Amino acid sequence: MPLLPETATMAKPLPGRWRRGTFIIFGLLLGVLWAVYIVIVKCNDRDSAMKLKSFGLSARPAFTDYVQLADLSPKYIPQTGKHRTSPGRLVVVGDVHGMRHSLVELLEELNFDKKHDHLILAGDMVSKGPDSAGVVDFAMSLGATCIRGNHEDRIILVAGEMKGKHLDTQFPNPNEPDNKKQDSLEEESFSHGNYKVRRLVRQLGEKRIKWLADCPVILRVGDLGGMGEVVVVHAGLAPGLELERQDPVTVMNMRTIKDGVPTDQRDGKPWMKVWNDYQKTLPKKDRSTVIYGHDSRRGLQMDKYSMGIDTGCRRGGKLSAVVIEGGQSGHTHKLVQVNCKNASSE
Amino acid sequence: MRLIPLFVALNAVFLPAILAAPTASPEDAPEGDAPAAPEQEEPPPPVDTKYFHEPGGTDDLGHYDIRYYTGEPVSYEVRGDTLLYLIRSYLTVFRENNVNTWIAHGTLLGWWWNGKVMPWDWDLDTQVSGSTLTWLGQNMNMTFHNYTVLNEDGTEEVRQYLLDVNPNAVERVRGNGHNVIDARWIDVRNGLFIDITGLSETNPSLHPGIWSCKNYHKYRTRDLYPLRETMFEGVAAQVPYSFDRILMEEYSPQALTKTKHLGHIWDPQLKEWIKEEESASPKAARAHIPRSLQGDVMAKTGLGNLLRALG
Repeated sequence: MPLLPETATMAKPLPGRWRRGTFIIFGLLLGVLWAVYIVIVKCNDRDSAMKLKSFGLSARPAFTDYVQLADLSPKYIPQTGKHRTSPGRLVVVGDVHGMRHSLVELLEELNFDKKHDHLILAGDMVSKGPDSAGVVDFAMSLGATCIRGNHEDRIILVAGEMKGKHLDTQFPNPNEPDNKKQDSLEEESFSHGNYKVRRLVRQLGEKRIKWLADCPVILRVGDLGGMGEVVVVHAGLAPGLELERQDPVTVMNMRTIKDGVPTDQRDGKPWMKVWNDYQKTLPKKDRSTVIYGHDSRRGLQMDKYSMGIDTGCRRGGKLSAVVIEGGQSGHTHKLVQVNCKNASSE
Repeated sequence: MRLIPLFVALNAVFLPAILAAPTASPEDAPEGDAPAAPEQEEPPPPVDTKYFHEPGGTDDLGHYDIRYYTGEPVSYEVRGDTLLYLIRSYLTVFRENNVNTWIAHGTLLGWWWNGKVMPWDWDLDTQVSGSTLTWLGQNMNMTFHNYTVLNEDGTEEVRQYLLDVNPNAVERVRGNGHNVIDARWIDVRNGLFIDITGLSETNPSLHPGIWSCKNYHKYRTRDLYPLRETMFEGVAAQVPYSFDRILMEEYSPQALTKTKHLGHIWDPQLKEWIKEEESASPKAARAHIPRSLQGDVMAKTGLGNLLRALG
């Protein structure tokens, strides 16, 4: 009973203190939650990096007739310093997809001079657009360096298939005419629905196909100071795996990394995010910047250690170039774009 | 997405998924007795509609063609040697005849790891297009093929293989499931074989570009063709265009990263699957220690464990 009045008198100052206490406890709780969240995120990153390491452990046999990796000739690397003798630049252009006019326009915009500038095409130069053969001819005339993209890959494989001997099964087969009214895919078919690609192979002809087949899957440009080692590929690279050990098919197709494996699907973690996080864990001298294309739906992606430059030219978007120049104190780079007209008006 | 460590423990779940070679399951179902003797009056003998037969449905017996089974299963070593030359002879003979074929299922997974048959595999899987299968049935059925094997001691040995096409191969739907395997490449010394499955667009008007075998494995035309040229067990071989997507869809992405499987450990230096010592194999451990008392294979310290425990 005597307690009652006591609690009554105590009751007055309580709310304030209680409230303050709540704030402190709430604050602490938030802090703990935040810490837990950070730990989980870090664990996750470490986890995916570890899993990626085991992704690279397999020893899959090589594919026949692939150039996995090539080094850009050092003569094309822009000179730096006070006494540089050439104003040469490196121009890396994303998915041209047969849009020859846009490519010409972009190089005009840059005052591209093939005497000292060097063009690198980051894959998917051909197919879809109106003038694949024209793009290849133009690139060859400039002495450009090319990268094998997923479209070149399919074209080269189909070209090989068309050259190969096939038994005559008396059924629809790869050498049947592709202009039939009734597509034999309506029946059981041997032609695999590659009619479009086969037509393009014939259009391109042997010489251009040969040029495309020699394009490396990975181009190592070299060490360019702040960008670290610059590499050009069509789709992406698996972080933490030497260039020699990268899987060419994923390099030409990847979009995300899911369960520690690069995939062309979109439901994983964007590969370039994993790539950038990974670069930041490395000492500065070991970091590397990738220039790539392939994903027009994502569009322009400029990150510290990756630059995605497929900006959907063929769909009326833009054609983009990363231009690397040699400055007084080191290399600099900038982005240059032109608007693409609708493919049909090319 | 953020809680991926939670699922690490679930990796174990994928073990059986890889274990079960998909074409094996319906084929392996015990068939009962061979057709009854004619003198038997009643009941009328059941009609046996299954074409290929095996001596039994178990892992030990389900991988032999009954016509060439010697009555005794072969050893681990003989099996490895038999499978090696089964696939080498098959790929070589098919290529010599310009017959397009590619490797599939567990055999494709073995190629992905090191271009070899996985040491725990009991059978091999290849695929052909439906039209190729029909052609094989009309032109090469029941043909025997000789292949010269170079033994380790330098001696040569000629082995004989039989190409046997299931007469039901023309029927492109699954039916009662007894004839999901379309053809076999059989080592006549012991009955071990390669399963050859034909893929066709079974429903071109409703599902154009979807190919399937009788066991309902579905493939997109664009994932299969154009085929890629590579090597398997030292001979030229072909794999599907999107082999990575096909493998991940069939076996889960973990199948491409997990370095421990069925008592074998992947050795990245040797580039081989190495059989664990009997004493250290998980099989032996399972026999004596209840699962709840066993340490986690993926045991790690830190928050991941706590999350796993809570999960």
